[in-house]
Amino acid sequence: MKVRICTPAAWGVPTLMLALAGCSGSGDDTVIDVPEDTEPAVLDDTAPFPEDTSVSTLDEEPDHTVTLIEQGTWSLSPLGGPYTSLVGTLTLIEYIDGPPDPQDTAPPPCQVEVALTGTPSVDGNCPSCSFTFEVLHQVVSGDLTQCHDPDRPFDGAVRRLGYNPSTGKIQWQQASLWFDWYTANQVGDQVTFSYTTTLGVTVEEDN
Amino acid sequence: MSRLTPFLALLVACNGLGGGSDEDTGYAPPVELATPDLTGVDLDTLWTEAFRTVLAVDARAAWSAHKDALGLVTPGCPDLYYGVPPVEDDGLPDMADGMAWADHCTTAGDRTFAGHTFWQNAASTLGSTAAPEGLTTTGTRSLFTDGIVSEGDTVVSELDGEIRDSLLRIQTESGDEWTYNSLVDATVTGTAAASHGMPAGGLRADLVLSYRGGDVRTLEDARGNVFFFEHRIGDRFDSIAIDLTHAAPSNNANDCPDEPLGYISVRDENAFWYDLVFQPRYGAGDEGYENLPYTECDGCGNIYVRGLDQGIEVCPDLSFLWDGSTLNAPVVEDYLLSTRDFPQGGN
Repeated sequence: MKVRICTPAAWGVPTLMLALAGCSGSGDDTVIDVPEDTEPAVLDDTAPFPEDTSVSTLDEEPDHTVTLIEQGTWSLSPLGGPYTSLVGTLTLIEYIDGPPDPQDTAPPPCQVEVALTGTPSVDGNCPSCSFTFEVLHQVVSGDLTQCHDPDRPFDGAVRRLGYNPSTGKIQWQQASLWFDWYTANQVGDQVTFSYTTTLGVTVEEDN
Repeated sequence: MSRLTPFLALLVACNGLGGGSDEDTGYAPPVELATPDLTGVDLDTLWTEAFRTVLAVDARAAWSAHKDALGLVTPGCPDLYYGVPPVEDDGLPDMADGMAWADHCTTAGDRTFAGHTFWQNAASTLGSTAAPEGLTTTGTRSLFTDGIVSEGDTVVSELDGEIRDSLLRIQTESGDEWTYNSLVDATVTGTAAASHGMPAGGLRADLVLSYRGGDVRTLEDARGNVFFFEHRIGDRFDSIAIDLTHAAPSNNANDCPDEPLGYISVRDENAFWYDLVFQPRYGAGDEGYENLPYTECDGCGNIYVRGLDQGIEVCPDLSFLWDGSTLNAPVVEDYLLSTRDFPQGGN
Protein backbone atom coordinates (compact mmCIF):
# COMPACT_ATOMS: atom_id res chain seq x y z
CA MET A 1 0.00 0.00 0.00
CA LYS A 2 1.27 3.49 -0.84
CA VAL A 3 0.15 6.68 0.84
CA ARG A 4 0.77 10.23 -0.21
CA ILE A 5 1.36 12.71 2.60
CA CYS A 6 1.25 16.47 2.24
CA THR A 7 -0.35 18.55 4.89
CA PRO A 8 -0.02 22.22 5.74
CA ALA A 9 -1.84 21.77 8.94
CA ALA A 10 1.20 21.18 11.13
CA TRP A 11 2.75 24.48 12.15
CA GLY A 12 6.21 23.83 13.46
CA VAL A 13 9.69 23.95 12.04
CA PRO A 14 10.50 20.23 12.27
CA THR A 15 7.18 19.43 10.75
CA LEU A 16 7.77 22.06 8.16
CA MET A 17 11.07 20.49 7.19
CA LEU A 18 9.50 17.11 6.91
CA ALA A 19 6.69 18.53 4.89
CA LEU A 20 9.11 20.26 2.55
CA ALA A 21 10.97 17.03 2.07
CA GLY A 22 7.73 15.25 1.41
CA CYS A 23 6.60 17.79 -1.11
CA SER A 24 9.85 18.18 -2.99
CA GLY A 25 10.29 16.74 -6.42
CA SER A 26 7.62 15.07 -8.43
CA GLY A 27 4.44 13.59 -7.01
CA ASP A 28 5.80 10.07 -7.32
CA ASP A 29 8.68 10.88 -5.01
CA THR A 30 6.24 11.56 -2.18
CA VAL A 31 4.93 8.04 -2.13
CA ILE A 32 6.14 6.00 0.82
CA ASP A 33 5.73 2.34 1.46
CA VAL A 34 3.67 1.15 4.35
CA PRO A 35 5.03 -2.14 5.65
CA GLU A 36 2.85 -5.13 5.24
CA ASP A 37 1.01 -6.10 8.40
CA THR A 38 2.49 -9.43 9.38
CA GLU A 39 0.94 -9.47 12.84
CA PRO A 40 -1.72 -12.10 13.39
CA ALA A 41 -5.24 -10.79 13.44
CA VAL A 42 -6.43 -9.73 16.85
CA LEU A 43 -9.61 -11.69 16.34
CA ASP A 44 -8.77 -15.06 14.93
CA ASP A 45 -12.00 -16.62 13.90
CA THR A 46 -10.49 -19.59 12.12
CA ALA A 47 -11.18 -21.87 15.07
CA PRO A 48 -14.83 -22.30 16.03
CA PHE A 49 -16.02 -21.33 19.47
CA PRO A 50 -16.14 -24.58 21.40
CA GLU A 51 -19.59 -25.95 21.70
CA ASP A 52 -20.88 -26.78 25.12
CA THR A 53 -21.84 -30.38 24.70
CA SER A 54 -22.49 -30.96 28.37
CA VAL A 55 -25.64 -29.07 29.00
CA SER A 56 -26.48 -31.03 32.11
CA THR A 57 -23.37 -29.78 33.89
CA LEU A 58 -24.77 -26.27 33.58
CA ASP A 59 -27.73 -27.12 35.73
CA GLU A 60 -27.48 -24.81 38.69
CA GLU A 61 -28.80 -25.23 42.17
CA PRO A 62 -29.89 -22.58 44.64
CA ASP A 63 -27.30 -21.72 47.25
CA HIS A 64 -30.11 -21.40 49.76
CA THR A 65 -33.65 -22.73 49.98
CA VAL A 66 -36.69 -21.75 51.93
CA THR A 67 -39.21 -24.33 53.08
CA LEU A 68 -42.63 -22.80 53.49
CA ILE A 69 -45.21 -24.47 55.72
CA GLU A 70 -48.71 -23.11 56.09
CA GLN A 71 -51.17 -25.11 58.12
CA GLY A 72 -54.31 -24.51 60.10
CA THR A 73 -57.81 -25.48 61.07
CA TRP A 74 -61.31 -24.22 60.57
CA SER A 75 -63.91 -24.94 63.23
CA LEU A 76 -67.38 -24.59 61.81
CA SER A 77 -70.68 -23.97 63.53
CA PRO A 78 -73.42 -24.70 64.18
CA LEU A 79 -72.67 -28.37 64.56
CA GLY A 80 -73.66 -30.32 61.52
CA GLY A 81 -74.32 -27.23 59.45
CA PRO A 82 -75.40 -25.47 57.43
CA TYR A 83 -72.47 -23.45 58.66
CA THR A 84 -72.86 -19.80 59.49
CA SER A 85 -69.65 -19.19 61.41
CA LEU A 86 -65.99 -20.05 61.14
CA VAL A 87 -63.14 -19.63 63.59
CA GLY A 88 -59.69 -21.01 63.19
CA THR A 89 -55.96 -20.53 63.09
CA LEU A 90 -53.31 -20.37 60.44
CA THR A 91 -49.61 -20.84 61.15
CA LEU A 92 -46.93 -19.75 58.71
CA ILE A 93 -43.40 -21.03 59.22
CA GLU A 94 -40.40 -20.73 56.94
CA TYR A 95 -37.12 -22.57 57.38
CA ILE A 96 -34.03 -21.41 55.55
CA ASP A 97 -31.90 -24.30 54.29
CA GLY A 98 -34.03 -26.99 55.87
CA PRO A 99 -35.47 -27.64 59.32
CA PRO A 100 -33.41 -26.25 62.18
CA ASP A 101 -31.17 -28.29 64.39
CA PRO A 102 -33.30 -29.78 67.19
CA GLN A 103 -30.86 -28.21 69.64
CA ASP A 104 -31.66 -24.79 68.23
CA THR A 105 -34.65 -23.57 70.19
CA ALA A 106 -34.77 -20.10 68.69
CA PRO A 107 -37.87 -19.59 66.55
CA PRO A 108 -37.29 -18.98 62.85
CA PRO A 109 -37.62 -15.38 61.69
CA CYS A 110 -40.85 -16.23 59.90
CA GLN A 111 -43.15 -17.92 62.38
CA VAL A 112 -46.52 -16.22 62.39
CA GLU A 113 -49.76 -17.13 64.12
CA VAL A 114 -52.91 -15.83 62.44
CA ALA A 115 -56.42 -15.91 63.89
CA LEU A 116 -59.21 -16.61 61.43
CA THR A 117 -62.84 -15.60 61.63
CA GLY A 118 -65.32 -16.09 58.87
CA THR A 119 -68.82 -15.30 57.77
CA PRO A 120 -70.64 -16.99 54.92
CA SER A 121 -70.05 -15.42 51.56
CA VAL A 122 -73.08 -13.73 50.10
CA ASP A 123 -71.58 -12.45 46.85
CA GLY A 124 -70.35 -15.69 45.43
CA ASN A 125 -69.61 -19.31 46.21
CA CYS A 126 -66.91 -21.36 44.70
CA PRO A 127 -68.20 -23.94 42.22
CA SER A 128 -68.45 -27.41 43.73
CA CYS A 129 -67.67 -26.06 47.19
CA SER A 130 -69.79 -27.17 50.11
CA PHE A 131 -69.33 -23.81 51.83
CA THR A 132 -67.62 -20.50 51.13
CA PHE A 133 -66.59 -17.92 53.72
CA GLU A 134 -65.23 -14.42 53.87
CA VAL A 135 -62.27 -15.09 56.14
CA LEU A 136 -60.61 -12.31 58.13
CA HIS A 137 -56.91 -12.85 58.85
CA GLN A 138 -55.54 -11.18 61.98
CA VAL A 139 -51.94 -11.63 63.06
CA VAL A 140 -51.66 -12.78 66.66
CA SER A 141 -47.90 -13.15 66.87
CA GLY A 142 -44.85 -13.05 64.66
CA ASP A 143 -43.60 -10.76 61.92
CA LEU A 144 -45.03 -11.29 58.43
CA THR A 145 -42.35 -9.12 56.89
CA GLN A 146 -39.84 -11.87 57.64
CA CYS A 147 -41.71 -14.27 55.37
CA HIS A 148 -40.98 -14.74 51.68
CA ASP A 149 -44.23 -16.04 50.21
CA PRO A 150 -45.48 -13.16 48.04
CA ASP A 151 -49.04 -14.40 48.57
CA ARG A 152 -48.93 -14.48 52.34
CA PRO A 153 -52.00 -12.83 53.87
CA PHE A 154 -51.45 -9.41 55.29
CA ASP A 155 -52.78 -8.48 58.70
CA GLY A 156 -56.45 -7.64 58.27
CA ALA A 157 -56.83 -9.33 54.91
CA VAL A 158 -60.23 -10.73 54.04
CA ARG A 159 -60.10 -13.64 51.66
CA ARG A 160 -63.01 -15.48 50.09
CA LEU A 161 -62.23 -19.14 50.67
CA GLY A 162 -64.29 -22.19 49.87
CA TYR A 163 -63.92 -25.87 50.63
CA ASN A 164 -64.24 -28.24 47.72
CA PRO A 165 -64.72 -31.77 49.07
CA SER A 166 -64.41 -33.43 45.68
CA THR A 167 -60.86 -32.18 45.17
CA GLY A 168 -59.91 -31.92 48.82
CA LYS A 169 -58.84 -28.32 48.33
CA ILE A 170 -59.55 -24.99 49.91
CA GLN A 171 -59.85 -22.53 47.08
CA TRP A 172 -59.15 -18.80 47.10
CA GLN A 173 -61.05 -16.44 44.85
CA GLN A 174 -59.11 -13.68 43.19
CA ALA A 175 -61.23 -11.60 40.84
CA SER A 176 -63.38 -14.17 39.06
CA LEU A 177 -60.85 -16.98 39.33
CA TRP A 178 -60.67 -19.68 41.99
CA PHE A 179 -57.19 -20.96 42.79
CA ASP A 180 -56.44 -24.17 44.66
CA TRP A 181 -54.76 -22.87 47.79
CA TYR A 182 -54.56 -25.50 50.50
CA THR A 183 -54.85 -29.25 50.61
CA ALA A 184 -57.72 -29.81 53.04
CA ASN A 185 -59.72 -32.47 54.79
CA GLN A 186 -63.03 -32.16 56.60
CA VAL A 187 -63.78 -34.36 59.59
CA GLY A 188 -67.09 -33.53 61.20
CA ASP A 189 -67.27 -29.79 61.69
CA GLN A 190 -63.56 -29.25 61.44
CA VAL A 191 -61.39 -28.70 58.39
CA THR A 192 -57.64 -29.09 58.59
CA PHE A 193 -55.52 -27.70 55.81
CA SER A 194 -51.90 -27.22 54.82
CA TYR A 195 -49.54 -26.20 52.07
CA THR A 196 -45.80 -26.75 51.92
CA THR A 197 -43.16 -26.10 49.32
CA THR A 198 -39.43 -25.59 49.03
CA LEU A 199 -38.02 -22.98 46.69
CA GLY A 200 -34.74 -21.17 46.23
CA VAL A 201 -34.15 -17.93 48.05
CA THR A 202 -31.54 -15.23 48.23
CA VAL A 203 -30.08 -14.83 51.69
CA GLU A 204 -28.35 -11.64 52.62
CA GLU A 205 -24.97 -12.63 53.95
CA ASP A 206 -23.73 -11.06 57.17
CA ASN A 207 -20.72 -8.86 56.61
CA MET B 1 8.42 39.38 7.64
CA SER B 2 5.46 37.59 9.04
CA ARG B 3 6.07 34.21 10.68
CA LEU B 4 3.51 32.77 8.30
CA THR B 5 5.33 33.80 5.19
CA PRO B 6 7.40 30.57 4.92
CA PHE B 7 4.26 28.57 5.22
CA LEU B 8 2.59 30.51 2.51
CA ALA B 9 5.57 29.94 0.31
CA LEU B 10 5.45 26.28 1.14
CA LEU B 11 1.79 26.04 0.25
CA VAL B 12 2.45 27.74 -3.07
CA ALA B 13 5.36 25.40 -3.68
CA CYS B 14 3.37 22.32 -2.84
CA ASN B 15 0.55 23.42 -5.05
CA GLY B 16 2.91 24.13 -7.88
CA LEU B 17 4.50 20.76 -7.58
CA GLY B 18 1.21 19.04 -7.66
CA GLY B 19 1.68 17.59 -4.19
CA GLY B 20 -1.47 18.92 -2.49
CA SER B 21 -4.29 19.24 -4.98
CA ASP B 22 -7.63 17.61 -4.44
CA GLU B 23 -7.12 15.70 -7.60
CA ASP B 24 -3.85 14.20 -6.48
CA THR B 25 -5.02 13.28 -2.98
CA GLY B 26 -8.13 11.66 -4.29
CA TYR B 27 -10.29 14.06 -2.35
CA ALA B 28 -13.78 14.49 -3.65
CA PRO B 29 -16.43 16.69 -2.14
CA PRO B 30 -19.12 14.68 -0.43
CA VAL B 31 -21.95 13.68 -2.64
CA GLU B 32 -25.26 14.83 -1.36
CA LEU B 33 -27.26 11.86 -0.20
CA ALA B 34 -30.31 11.42 -2.32
CA THR B 35 -33.54 10.83 -0.48
CA PRO B 36 -34.72 7.31 -1.27
CA ASP B 37 -37.50 7.09 -3.74
CA LEU B 38 -40.92 6.66 -2.16
CA THR B 39 -42.68 6.28 -5.47
CA GLY B 40 -45.25 3.55 -5.31
CA VAL B 41 -45.42 3.55 -1.52
CA ASP B 42 -48.94 4.14 -0.23
CA LEU B 43 -47.87 6.48 2.53
CA ASP B 44 -51.28 6.80 4.16
CA THR B 45 -51.51 3.03 4.46
CA LEU B 46 -47.88 2.74 5.52
CA TRP B 47 -48.29 5.06 8.47
CA THR B 48 -51.61 3.57 9.44
CA GLU B 49 -49.84 0.23 9.62
CA ALA B 50 -47.04 1.83 11.62
CA PHE B 51 -49.56 3.07 14.17
CA ARG B 52 -51.15 -0.36 14.44
CA THR B 53 -47.77 -2.03 14.77
CA VAL B 54 -46.33 0.19 17.47
CA LEU B 55 -49.49 -0.03 19.56
CA ALA B 56 -49.15 -3.82 19.57
CA VAL B 57 -45.87 -3.52 21.45
CA ASP B 58 -47.18 -3.46 24.99
CA ALA B 59 -46.51 -5.53 28.07
CA ARG B 60 -49.45 -7.85 27.55
CA ALA B 61 -47.90 -10.03 24.87
CA ALA B 62 -44.62 -10.24 26.78
CA TRP B 63 -46.38 -11.23 29.99
CA SER B 64 -48.37 -13.88 28.14
CA ALA B 65 -45.13 -15.20 26.69
CA HIS B 66 -43.73 -15.34 30.22
CA LYS B 67 -46.76 -17.35 31.35
CA ASP B 68 -46.36 -19.70 28.40
CA ALA B 69 -42.74 -20.24 29.40
CA LEU B 70 -43.78 -20.98 32.98
CA GLY B 71 -46.05 -23.65 31.58
CA LEU B 72 -42.93 -25.51 30.49
CA VAL B 73 -41.41 -25.64 33.98
CA THR B 74 -40.60 -29.10 35.27
CA PRO B 75 -39.42 -29.98 38.78
CA GLY B 76 -35.93 -28.57 39.17
CA CYS B 77 -35.70 -27.06 35.73
CA PRO B 78 -35.64 -24.24 36.15
CA ASP B 79 -35.09 -23.58 39.85
CA LEU B 80 -37.82 -21.37 41.26
CA TYR B 81 -37.21 -18.72 43.85
CA TYR B 82 -39.13 -16.63 46.27
CA GLY B 83 -37.91 -13.08 45.79
CA VAL B 84 -35.09 -11.74 43.67
CA PRO B 85 -32.78 -14.51 42.44
CA PRO B 86 -29.08 -14.47 43.37
CA VAL B 87 -27.73 -13.42 39.99
CA GLU B 88 -25.61 -10.54 38.76
CA ASP B 89 -28.03 -8.21 37.01
CA ASP B 90 -28.12 -4.48 37.61
CA GLY B 91 -31.63 -4.40 36.21
CA LEU B 92 -33.06 -6.43 39.06
CA PRO B 93 -34.64 -4.64 42.00
CA ASP B 94 -33.21 -5.05 45.45
CA MET B 95 -34.85 -7.47 47.82
CA ALA B 96 -38.51 -7.54 46.92
CA ASP B 97 -41.55 -9.75 47.09
CA GLY B 98 -42.15 -11.76 43.99
CA MET B 99 -41.06 -14.95 42.33
CA ALA B 100 -38.31 -15.88 39.96
CA TRP B 101 -36.78 -18.62 37.93
CA ALA B 102 -33.03 -18.75 37.48
CA ASP B 103 -31.09 -21.58 35.94
CA HIS B 104 -29.22 -22.98 32.99
CA CYS B 105 -30.78 -26.37 32.45
CA THR B 106 -32.36 -28.67 29.92
CA THR B 107 -35.23 -30.98 30.67
CA ALA B 108 -35.65 -34.50 29.40
CA GLY B 109 -38.09 -33.08 26.88
CA ASP B 110 -35.32 -30.88 25.43
CA ARG B 111 -36.69 -27.73 26.95
CA THR B 112 -33.95 -25.32 27.91
CA PHE B 113 -34.10 -22.52 30.45
CA ALA B 114 -31.16 -20.14 30.42
CA GLY B 115 -30.90 -17.00 32.49
CA HIS B 116 -33.43 -15.63 34.90
CA THR B 117 -36.76 -13.86 35.22
CA PHE B 118 -38.12 -12.13 38.31
CA TRP B 119 -41.78 -11.23 38.29
CA GLN B 120 -44.32 -9.47 40.45
CA ASN B 121 -48.03 -9.23 39.97
CA ALA B 122 -51.03 -8.09 41.94
CA ALA B 123 -54.70 -7.54 41.30
CA SER B 124 -57.60 -6.35 43.36
CA THR B 125 -61.24 -5.43 43.10
CA LEU B 126 -62.97 -3.29 45.67
CA GLY B 127 -66.58 -2.19 45.98
CA SER B 128 -69.35 -2.71 43.51
CA THR B 129 -70.85 -0.89 40.59
CA ALA B 130 -73.93 -0.23 42.70
CA ALA B 131 -71.96 1.62 45.37
CA PRO B 132 -71.56 5.39 45.03
CA GLU B 133 -67.79 5.06 44.75
CA GLY B 134 -68.21 2.22 42.27
CA LEU B 135 -66.16 -0.88 41.60
CA THR B 136 -62.45 -0.19 41.60
CA THR B 137 -60.22 -2.67 39.82
CA THR B 138 -56.43 -2.49 39.89
CA GLY B 139 -53.77 -4.66 38.36
CA THR B 140 -50.00 -4.39 38.23
CA ARG B 141 -47.35 -6.72 36.95
CA SER B 142 -43.68 -6.49 36.09
CA LEU B 143 -40.89 -8.58 34.67
CA PHE B 144 -37.18 -8.05 35.23
CA THR B 145 -35.58 -10.57 33.00
CA ASP B 146 -32.67 -11.85 31.01
CA GLY B 147 -33.80 -15.29 30.06
CA ILE B 148 -34.36 -17.61 27.13
CA VAL B 149 -36.71 -20.56 27.07
CA SER B 150 -36.54 -22.91 24.13
CA GLU B 151 -37.85 -26.23 22.95
CA GLY B 152 -35.33 -27.96 20.76
CA ASP B 153 -34.14 -25.37 18.28
CA THR B 154 -37.20 -23.20 18.69
CA VAL B 155 -37.02 -20.17 20.94
CA VAL B 156 -40.29 -20.07 22.81
CA SER B 157 -39.52 -16.88 24.65
CA GLU B 158 -36.58 -14.58 25.04
CA LEU B 159 -37.13 -11.60 27.30
CA ASP B 160 -34.28 -9.30 28.22
CA GLY B 161 -35.00 -6.08 30.04
CA GLU B 162 -37.83 -4.58 32.03
CA ILE B 163 -41.50 -4.99 31.16
CA ARG B 164 -44.43 -3.78 33.22
CA ASP B 165 -47.93 -2.50 32.99
CA SER B 166 -50.82 -1.43 35.16
CA LEU B 167 -54.57 -1.08 35.02
CA LEU B 168 -56.89 1.14 37.03
CA ARG B 169 -60.59 0.90 36.33
CA ILE B 170 -63.56 2.49 38.10
CA GLN B 171 -67.01 1.33 37.11
CA THR B 172 -70.32 2.62 38.35
CA GLU B 173 -73.83 2.02 37.15
CA SER B 174 -73.59 5.14 35.05
CA GLY B 175 -69.97 5.29 34.07
CA ASP B 176 -66.76 3.50 33.25
CA GLU B 177 -63.26 4.94 33.26
CA TRP B 178 -59.99 3.11 32.96
CA THR B 179 -56.32 3.85 32.45
CA TYR B 180 -53.73 1.47 31.09
CA ASN B 181 -49.97 2.09 31.22
CA SER B 182 -47.31 -0.08 29.64
CA LEU B 183 -43.53 -0.06 29.49
CA VAL B 184 -41.51 -2.38 27.30
CA ASP B 185 -37.84 -1.61 27.72
CA ALA B 186 -36.61 -4.94 26.51
CA THR B 187 -35.73 -7.36 23.80
CA VAL B 188 -38.65 -9.66 23.08
CA THR B 189 -38.35 -12.60 20.75
CA GLY B 190 -39.77 -16.07 20.39
CA THR B 191 -42.83 -17.84 19.17
CA ALA B 192 -44.86 -17.19 22.31
CA ALA B 193 -44.86 -13.39 22.09
CA ALA B 194 -45.70 -13.58 18.41
CA SER B 195 -48.63 -15.86 19.16
CA HIS B 196 -49.93 -13.23 21.57
CA GLY B 197 -49.91 -10.37 19.10
CA MET B 198 -46.37 -9.05 18.93
CA PRO B 199 -44.90 -8.76 15.46
CA ALA B 200 -43.16 -12.02 14.62
CA GLY B 201 -39.40 -12.23 14.48
CA GLY B 202 -38.63 -10.32 17.63
CA LEU B 203 -37.95 -6.73 18.53
CA ARG B 204 -36.01 -4.40 20.75
CA ALA B 205 -38.15 -1.67 22.29
CA ASP B 206 -37.98 1.21 24.68
CA LEU B 207 -41.59 2.21 24.51
CA VAL B 208 -44.16 3.73 26.83
CA LEU B 209 -47.84 3.45 25.97
CA SER B 210 -50.53 5.03 28.07
CA TYR B 211 -54.19 5.36 27.22
CA ARG B 212 -57.56 5.92 28.78
CA GLY B 213 -60.86 4.40 27.89
CA GLY B 214 -64.41 4.15 28.94
CA ASP B 215 -66.33 7.38 28.91
CA VAL B 216 -63.29 9.39 27.81
CA ARG B 217 -60.89 7.84 25.34
CA THR B 218 -57.42 9.21 24.86
CA LEU B 219 -54.08 7.93 23.68
CA GLU B 220 -52.34 9.82 26.45
CA ASP B 221 -48.79 8.96 25.53
CA ALA B 222 -46.97 6.89 22.96
CA ARG B 223 -43.28 7.55 23.38
CA GLY B 224 -40.13 5.67 22.47
CA ASN B 225 -38.85 3.45 19.74
CA VAL B 226 -39.00 -0.08 18.43
CA PHE B 227 -36.64 -1.97 16.15
CA PHE B 228 -38.04 -5.08 14.52
CA PHE B 229 -35.53 -7.82 13.84
CA GLU B 230 -37.48 -9.43 11.03
CA HIS B 231 -40.86 -7.79 10.70
CA ARG B 232 -41.09 -5.08 8.08
CA ILE B 233 -43.72 -2.39 7.89
CA GLY B 234 -44.77 -2.08 4.29
CA ASP B 235 -42.14 -4.72 3.47
CA ARG B 236 -39.46 -2.06 3.84
CA PHE B 237 -39.32 -0.30 7.19
CA ASP B 238 -37.75 -1.89 10.25
CA SER B 239 -38.12 0.67 13.02
CA ILE B 240 -40.59 3.08 14.52
CA ALA B 241 -39.99 6.11 16.71
CA ILE B 242 -42.90 7.94 18.22
CA ASP B 243 -43.70 10.81 20.56
CA LEU B 244 -47.36 11.47 20.27
CA THR B 245 -50.68 12.02 21.98
CA HIS B 246 -54.16 11.88 20.56
CA ALA B 247 -57.69 12.22 21.90
CA ALA B 248 -60.78 10.57 20.55
CA PRO B 249 -63.19 12.73 18.58
CA SER B 250 -65.80 11.94 21.21
CA ASN B 251 -63.69 13.70 23.79
CA ASN B 252 -65.30 17.11 23.94
CA ALA B 253 -62.23 18.63 25.50
CA ASN B 254 -60.26 17.94 22.37
CA ASP B 255 -59.52 21.02 20.28
CA CYS B 256 -58.54 18.99 17.26
CA PRO B 257 -60.26 15.63 17.10
CA ASP B 258 -58.83 14.75 13.71
CA GLU B 259 -55.12 14.96 14.33
CA PRO B 260 -52.59 13.76 16.88
CA LEU B 261 -49.99 15.97 18.47
CA GLY B 262 -46.41 14.90 17.90
CA TYR B 263 -44.69 12.67 15.39
CA ILE B 264 -44.29 9.10 14.31
CA SER B 265 -41.28 8.05 12.28
CA VAL B 266 -40.38 4.96 10.33
CA ARG B 267 -36.92 3.88 9.28
CA ASP B 268 -36.08 1.97 6.16
CA GLU B 269 -33.49 -0.77 5.97
CA ASN B 270 -30.91 1.75 4.72
CA ALA B 271 -31.34 3.70 7.95
CA PHE B 272 -33.22 6.63 6.48
CA TRP B 273 -35.76 7.98 8.94
CA TYR B 274 -39.01 9.39 7.62
CA ASP B 275 -40.64 11.59 10.23
CA LEU B 276 -44.34 12.19 9.93
CA VAL B 277 -44.90 15.36 11.92
CA PHE B 278 -48.37 16.36 13.02
CA GLN B 279 -49.33 19.32 15.11
CA PRO B 280 -46.64 20.12 17.65
CA ARG B 281 -46.79 18.40 20.97
CA TYR B 282 -46.64 21.43 23.16
CA GLY B 283 -44.34 21.62 26.09
CA ALA B 284 -45.15 23.56 29.20
CA GLY B 285 -45.74 27.18 28.23
CA ASP B 286 -45.65 26.48 24.51
CA GLU B 287 -49.36 26.58 23.93
CA GLY B 288 -50.79 28.91 21.41
CA TYR B 289 -48.13 29.44 18.77
CA GLU B 290 -49.08 28.80 15.21
CA ASN B 291 -47.08 27.75 12.21
CA LEU B 292 -49.54 27.33 9.44
CA PRO B 293 -50.05 25.17 7.47
CA TYR B 294 -48.39 22.66 9.80
CA THR B 295 -50.62 23.43 12.72
CA GLU B 296 -53.79 23.05 10.71
CA CYS B 297 -56.20 20.57 12.19
CA ASP B 298 -56.61 18.48 9.08
CA GLY B 299 -55.60 14.99 10.19
CA CYS B 300 -52.48 15.11 8.09
CA GLY B 301 -48.81 15.37 8.82
CA ASN B 302 -45.79 16.33 6.78
CA ILE B 303 -42.86 14.07 6.01
CA TYR B 304 -39.41 15.21 7.00
CA VAL B 305 -36.21 13.42 6.06
CA ARG B 306 -33.02 14.43 7.84
CA GLY B 307 -34.88 17.46 9.10
CA LEU B 308 -35.95 18.62 5.66
CA ASP B 309 -39.58 19.02 4.74
CA GLN B 310 -40.24 16.76 1.77
CA GLY B 311 -43.40 18.59 0.82
CA ILE B 312 -45.37 15.37 1.16
CA GLU B 313 -48.54 15.28 3.19
CA VAL B 314 -49.68 12.02 4.74
CA CYS B 315 -53.10 11.42 6.20
CA PRO B 316 -53.21 8.07 7.99
CA ASP B 317 -56.56 6.62 8.92
CA LEU B 318 -56.56 6.57 12.71
CA SER B 319 -60.22 5.79 13.17
CA PHE B 320 -59.27 2.28 14.30
CA LEU B 321 -57.97 3.81 17.51
CA TRP B 322 -61.50 4.41 18.69
CA ASP B 323 -63.47 1.51 17.24
CA GLY B 324 -62.69 -0.83 20.14
CA SER B 325 -60.28 -3.02 18.18
CA THR B 326 -57.00 -1.74 19.54
CA LEU B 327 -56.88 0.44 22.65
CA ASN B 328 -58.59 -1.94 25.04
CA ALA B 329 -58.25 -2.49 28.76
CA PRO B 330 -56.94 -5.82 29.94
CA VAL B 331 -59.17 -7.82 32.26
CA VAL B 332 -58.12 -8.05 35.87
CA GLU B 333 -57.74 -11.81 35.60
CA ASP B 334 -54.78 -11.22 33.30
CA TYR B 335 -52.91 -9.89 36.32
CA LEU B 336 -53.35 -13.06 38.33
CA LEU B 337 -50.72 -15.74 38.37
CA SER B 338 -50.88 -18.27 41.15
CA THR B 339 -47.70 -18.92 43.05
CA ARG B 340 -48.94 -22.46 43.65
CA ASP B 341 -49.31 -23.83 40.16
CA PHE B 342 -45.72 -24.89 39.70
CA PRO B 343 -44.31 -28.38 39.86
CA GLN B 344 -42.65 -29.03 43.17
CA GLY B 345 -39.35 -30.66 43.95
CA GLY B 346 -36.13 -31.09 42.03
CA ASN B 347 -33.11 -28.88 42.22
